[in-house]
Amino acid sequence: MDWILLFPILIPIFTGLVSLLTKKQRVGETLALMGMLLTFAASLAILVLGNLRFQIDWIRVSALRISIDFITSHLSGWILVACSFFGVLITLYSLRQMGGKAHLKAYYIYLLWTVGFANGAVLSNNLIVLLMFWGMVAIMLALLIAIGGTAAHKAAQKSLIIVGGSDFAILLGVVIIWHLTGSLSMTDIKIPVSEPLSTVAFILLMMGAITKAGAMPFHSWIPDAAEVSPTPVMAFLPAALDKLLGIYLLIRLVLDLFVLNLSMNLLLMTIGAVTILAAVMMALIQKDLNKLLSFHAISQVGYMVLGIGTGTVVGMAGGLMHMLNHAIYKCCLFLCSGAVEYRTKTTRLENLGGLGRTMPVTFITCGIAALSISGVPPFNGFVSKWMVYQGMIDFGGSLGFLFLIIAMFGSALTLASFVKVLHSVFMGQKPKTIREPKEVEFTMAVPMMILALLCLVFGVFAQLPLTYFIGPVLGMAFGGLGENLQLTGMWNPTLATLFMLISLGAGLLFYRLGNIKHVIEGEIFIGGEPIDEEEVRIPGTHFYNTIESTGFLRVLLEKGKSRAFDLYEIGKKGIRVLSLVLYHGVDRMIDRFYDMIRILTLELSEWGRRLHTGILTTYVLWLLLGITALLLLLMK
Amino acid sequence: MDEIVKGIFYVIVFPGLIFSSTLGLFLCWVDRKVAARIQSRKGPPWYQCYADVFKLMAKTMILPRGSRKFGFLLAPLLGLSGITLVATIVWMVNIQPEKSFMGDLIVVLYLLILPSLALIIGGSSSRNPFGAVGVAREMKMILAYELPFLMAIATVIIHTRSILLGEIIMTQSLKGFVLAHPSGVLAMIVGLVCIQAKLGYLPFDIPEAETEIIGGTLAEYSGVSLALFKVTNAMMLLTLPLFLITLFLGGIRFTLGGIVGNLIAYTVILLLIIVVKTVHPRLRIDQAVRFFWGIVTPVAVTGLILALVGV
Amino acid sequence: MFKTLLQKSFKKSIWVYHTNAGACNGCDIEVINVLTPYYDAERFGIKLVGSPRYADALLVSGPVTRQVLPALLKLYESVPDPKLVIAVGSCAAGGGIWHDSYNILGGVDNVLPVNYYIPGCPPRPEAILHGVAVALGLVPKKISPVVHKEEKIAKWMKS
Repeated sequence: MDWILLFPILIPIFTGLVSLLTKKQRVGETLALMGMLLTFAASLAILVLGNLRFQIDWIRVSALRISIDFITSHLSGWILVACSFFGVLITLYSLRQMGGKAHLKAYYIYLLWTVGFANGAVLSNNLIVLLMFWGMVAIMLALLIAIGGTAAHKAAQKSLIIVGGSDFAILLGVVIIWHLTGSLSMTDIKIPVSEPLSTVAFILLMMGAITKAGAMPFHSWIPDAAEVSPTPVMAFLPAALDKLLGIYLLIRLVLDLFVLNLSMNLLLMTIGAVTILAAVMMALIQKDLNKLLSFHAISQVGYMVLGIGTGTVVGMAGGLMHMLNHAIYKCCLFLCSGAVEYRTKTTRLENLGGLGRTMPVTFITCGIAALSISGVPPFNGFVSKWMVYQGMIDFGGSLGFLFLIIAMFGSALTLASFVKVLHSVFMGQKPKTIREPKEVEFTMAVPMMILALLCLVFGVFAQLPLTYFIGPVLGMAFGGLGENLQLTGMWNPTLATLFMLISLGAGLLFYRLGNIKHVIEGEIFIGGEPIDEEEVRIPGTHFYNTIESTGFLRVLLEKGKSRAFDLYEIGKKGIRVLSLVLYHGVDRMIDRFYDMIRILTLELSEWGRRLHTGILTTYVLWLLLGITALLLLLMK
Repeated sequence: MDEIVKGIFYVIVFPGLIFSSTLGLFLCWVDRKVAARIQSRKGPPWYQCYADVFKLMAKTMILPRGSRKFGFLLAPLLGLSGITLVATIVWMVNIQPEKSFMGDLIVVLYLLILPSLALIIGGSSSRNPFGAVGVAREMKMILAYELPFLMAIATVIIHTRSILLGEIIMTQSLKGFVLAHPSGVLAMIVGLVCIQAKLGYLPFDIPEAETEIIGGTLAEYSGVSLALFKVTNAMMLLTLPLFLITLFLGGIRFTLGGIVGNLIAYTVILLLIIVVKTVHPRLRIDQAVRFFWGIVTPVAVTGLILALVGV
Repeated sequence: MFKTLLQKSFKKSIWVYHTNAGACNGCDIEVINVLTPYYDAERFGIKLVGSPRYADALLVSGPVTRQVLPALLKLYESVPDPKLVIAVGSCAAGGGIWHDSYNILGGVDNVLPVNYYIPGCPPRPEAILHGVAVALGLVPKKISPVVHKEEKIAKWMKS
């Protein structure tokens, strides 16, 4: 039964190939949906079946032995299910959202292939095979971004260069690992990070994982892609799949492949903390909805890296659970943004407003996801963030508290940003430029509702994912400490929700006691004057003007907006400088050298030419001089 | 099952909704009476705040046309439920310190955001531009005072080496108050300033500036929903000084000298809040942000560093 | 039972909103004087609020000019029931010295249903307070006895 492991990889790829042959749009879409559903079923089967392994030898060259090796562990099982699950949801959503865009057939094929390759990366046990699938996911990412039109080509190119560069870093790290241990199979490697070489290997692999997930300083491809690529692509790749893959690799690195020491933990925690704060500050001032959401995606990766970097059980469980929760609510947020874009054809926050009345489903799901990402109890974001905080307190020391404060403040800033989003898009006043938007269609609404429901369920019944998904992973690594994660003696979300609901009910009773019979409707009061509503409408983008202009934050944010901190831009400038140096220093020098030879030759020949004057007497003189010299010489 | 029933009793009757709201409204009257005395006049009679709330409940409620009525009506309930749970947790932890659960400090901090969030949701759904202005100001106030408040609480955690509220209380009864250390004094001062902002009292009255933006976030509220907001504010006035006492002064101690000491401390904190409220004018929002991030945060950071050093 | 409690509380806490319907500001200054600590209106439960949605009583001063008319109507709509309208000053009570001017409507009672009138130009703060106290039922109304003309002349002729 081990060959069932190949199903989640081969089914989507095969379906994609078949889709290439079809001509009609509908057939392609139906094939895609069927393929995704089959993949989902196959991954569920694998999760249930448990430990399987599939291994055939592929390349054998002296000491190098690469085998196609797939294995399921506790971790990869449910990540597999999650990848296919998101694939199904996004395909369902795109049936309506992407209608009318160009290259539609290619879009579904890329979706299928991405899921296939991602499944391969999650399942593989051999580092080279992992890298193969990893790289192919990166290519699919660039192709999917490029679907957004010619404006998207630059962003696609940028993402390819950055993610491809990180792939190269992973390759280098893999080579070092092979040199250190002689094996490429992930189950056999366990390197302590003590010598410089293994540290370098760890850092390279970590860079690869973090770039895929999108932490600073390799994050700059995500906001640029967010502006130009179609929203389902954003919901699928940078929000859900990349985080799953990137943090999966990071967890494998930290738990299985390497044994970390304190400095590596501190490095991970620093990267996490800086990412949280800087990204959320940038998100506060954005004016485009997709770009704002993408900055938040970057910031939440900071929480995951922070949690994993603590090295404690609770912290790592928090980081893992945050990965899962983030995929759920971030996907939901992007899908809601896509729904708004579908109905109103714009994502600029200044031009949106007041949509909550006519798009209630979108409003409620977006509200639930926004409360989850801000970490408001009792949704799932709070549970994972709280576990990350616990991990940092267990880590202790002065740095632990510093990171704790940064993380909690980042949460407050996230809340601020989403208040702005909710007010600008759904509440507040509706601008005249939008006609009445209706609610979105069923196929688009169902994925959003499923995701919002998951947010609620994973928040209130947080024991479910902890016991079934995350506990076994850490139990394996920490030797049976999995039951520490049972929420006994800790904050019980179910009970807390029950109490909240009861106090809400008491408040409703208060309403009933009051004069609830005579409720009338009236106009809003703005000093009694009749005003033009359009003039006094305050879009949400004005909310944080004060913070933007305070002190040194102003300088930092301006620099951030003009991409002064973007490594890609710095890299581009560096390459430009390098090429200038080479041009003037080397190329020109060689040219000058050739020029010199040319001039020398010409001068000599010119001089030689002058000797041939054409006057006979001069030639006779030269003859006589020459004969005299010869005679003198011969007579010696 | 009877755990749940006991829990419901705690949340609704004592020390939750009914107890906190009644005592909180009484403290509102104390606030107005002291303010009157400072202005050398007689103040309102003792039943004034109760009369206010009852009168508001008797008025008709006007819902603004075109607003999100569901959000508009739900917002005060959110604030009320948040502060009810906080009041329950803080009182129960003081009465039975061994019952506190892991991470309840963080839960309390997050639940304390809910009343401000309720103001924001209410102001947003009211479709009034003054509401939008109030929402912006409220959000900026939250950002401004959360940072030093978190640092002050981190100082307490460092001193007592624990994050359970119950353990914080028990450690302080063994090893002395957090206030006895210089870093504790700094953290307490920061805590007092942040509580003034959280309660929405002058000089940080900015989101609800009555004379400036017609009530800001509460501009369109009238009747029962307004009464709910007033009750929420009253409960915050009761609970937040108690929270400070739990963190810095070792909670409620059930000996004779302890209770007298607690009452004196509580009265001092309350009087400080009232006097500062009566004497000061209102700050502008950018002045407030600069005040919190420029002056209060460095004080909090100094306290944190002193605590880490061990002083 | 609860309803009577609510109704009784109405008298104990009146929140006023002050508006100027074209006045010369004399009555406005006097109204603001009343709400200062010297006269201590708060012991009756009277509070000045910034939004008409919170208000119970409207203190209107000034004869109603043509420009202010729509705003005044809108204001009245924004105050929730049950409400009181108190006309402060002679101009509000019936137009004052402008009662036949071309640009005013002549008194607030041409526009809104007024409950209480407080005459004076401007009425002293004590008079305003007395008016509100009458509205709250704290003091009885000032009614002067009716004496016939002949009795008065006879009384004066005797002394």
